Amino acid sequence: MKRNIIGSATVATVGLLFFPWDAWAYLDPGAGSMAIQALAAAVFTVAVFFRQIRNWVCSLFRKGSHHDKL
Amino acid sequence: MTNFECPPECFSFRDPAGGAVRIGNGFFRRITAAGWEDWRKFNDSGLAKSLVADGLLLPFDKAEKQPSGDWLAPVETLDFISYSHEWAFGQFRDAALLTLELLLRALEYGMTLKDASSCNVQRHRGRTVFMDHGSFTVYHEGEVWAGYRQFVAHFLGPLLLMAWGDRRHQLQLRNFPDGLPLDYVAGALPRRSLFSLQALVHIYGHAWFQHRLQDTADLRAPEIRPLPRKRFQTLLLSLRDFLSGLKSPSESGEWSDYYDHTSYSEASFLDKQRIVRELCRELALRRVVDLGANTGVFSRIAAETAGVVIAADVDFPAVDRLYGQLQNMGGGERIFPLQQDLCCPSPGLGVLNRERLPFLERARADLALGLALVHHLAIGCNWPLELVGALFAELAPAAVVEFVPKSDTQVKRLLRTRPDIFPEYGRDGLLAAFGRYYRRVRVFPIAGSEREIFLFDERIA
Repeated sequence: MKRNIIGSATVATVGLLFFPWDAWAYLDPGAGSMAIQALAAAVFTVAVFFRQIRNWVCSLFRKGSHHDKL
Repeated sequence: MTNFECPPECFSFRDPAGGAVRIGNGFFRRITAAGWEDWRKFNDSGLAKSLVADGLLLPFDKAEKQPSGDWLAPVETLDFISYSHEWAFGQFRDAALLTLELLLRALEYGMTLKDASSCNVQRHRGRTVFMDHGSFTVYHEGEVWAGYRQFVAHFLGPLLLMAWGDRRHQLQLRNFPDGLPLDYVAGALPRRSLFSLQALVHIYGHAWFQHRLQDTADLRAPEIRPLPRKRFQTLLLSLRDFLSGLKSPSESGEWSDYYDHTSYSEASFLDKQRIVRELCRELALRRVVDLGANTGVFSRIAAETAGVVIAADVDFPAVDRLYGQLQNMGGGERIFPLQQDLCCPSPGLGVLNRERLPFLERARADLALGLALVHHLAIGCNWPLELVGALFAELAPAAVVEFVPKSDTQVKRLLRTRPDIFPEYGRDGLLAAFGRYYRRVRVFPIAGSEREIFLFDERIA
C-alpha cells in the first residue's frame, strides 16, 4: 500500500510537470478552499497510512478482517 | 410596483454550460455549446449509463439539438422537490454520501464534479438520487476540487452541527442557501469537535485558510499546490467513512420512547386507522400532504393507495425516525419525510424568492390530512380556527381533519399552564370555520373515543 502511494504520488508529480491543469469553474472555489485541499489530502493520506499499520499490528494478535475508518 | 413579470422558476441559472428547465409538464436538461464537450464525455465514457443503472442518477434520454443551438435531454420528472433545511438527518447524510460516491465514480472515468450543491440531490421513488446531470466535467490530473468549499458548506458543516451541536442549526440553511459559512460552523461547534481530525482540517483549518487568504490586496490568482488524483481519492474516502458513521441524537436512541405515548386506547387508534384507510381508498388520491405526520403511521396508510405522500412534521426526531424506518423497513417509495413548522413554513428563497419555492406551493395535493393537529395550531399556537381552515384549503380541495375536544387529555395538557381564551374552539367552531372553505362535510366518530374525523370536500373556489 505504501509503495502504491509513493508510486502514485511520483507519477502524479511528474505528470504535473508536463500537463498544465485548470481550476476553472462556474462557481468561485475560494482561494482558501483551494489552498487547503493538498494539505488536507496529505494529512488524511498519512492518517490512512498509520491506520493501516495499526490494523496490521492488531491483525497479528487476533483473527478476522479489519475495517479502515477515519 | 413594476410591470416586470417574475419567471415561475429560476432554480438553475448559474452554470453557463446549461441547467434544468421545465417545458410544459416535462423537465429537461439544457446543454449549451459551452457544456457540450463535457456532456459528450459524460455519455460516451459510459459514466452516465453506469450511474443510471445503479440508481444513483435521475434517468434521462438522449439530448436533441434545438433551433436555439442548445441541446435538450428529457429527464424523469421528480414527484416532489425538497431542500436541505427540510430534510431528515439520514436523508441529509445520504445526500452527502451520494455526492462523494458520484465524485469517486466520476474520477474513475476521467471526470469530476464541478460543484457540490445540496440542491443536486433529491429523493425519488424511495432512493436518494443525483439530479444535476450537468455537474460532470472533464478531470485534469492534479487539479483541486472546485466544489470542495461547497461540499463543506452544504453538507459537512451542517451535518456536524446537527450531530454534535444543536439539531436546529439545520434551519440556518434557510438564511444561507449556499451553505453555512465556515466561520459560523467553527464558532458554533462544541469544543469536543477539536479532537476530531475531520473537523480540525475541513472546518477549523479550512476556515483559517479562508480568513487568511480573503483579505489580500494581491489581485493575482493564488498559487495552489496540485492535488494528485490518488490523494484526492484518499481524501474523499476518508470523508465518506467519517460521514457514514455520523449519527444524529435521534438516530442513536436518545429519543426512542418519545412518541410512544398517546391519549387513547389501542382499539380507538386502530379504528382511526381504519377510517383513514377507507377514506383514502374511496377518494382514489394521487397526492396527499400529511400535516403533523409525526412518525408517519397515517402517511404509510395514505401511501397504500396514493402515489405521493408528503409527510411533514415540526419535530426533528420524528422526521429523522420516519426516514430511518423507511430506509430500514422499506415501503417508503412514495413517502417524503419533511421537517416543517406550519407556523413558519418554508418561504420562497433565493433569487426573486423563486429559486426555492415555498412549501405551500410545492405541497399542493388532492387531500390534506390533519390528524391530531388542529388543537396544536388552535390552542398551542393561538391560530383562529378560520386560519386553520385556510391552511387546508390552500393545500388541497379535500381535507381529513381530526377533532379533539377540550375534554381530551391532550387538550387539557395544552391548557394546564394558561387560561382558556379559546371559546371558539369546539366542534361547532371547527365546522363553521372549515365551512367557509369547503361545501360538504362527513363525520366519522372514532370508536371508544370522544374524538371525531371530519372529511371536508368540494372546496369553494
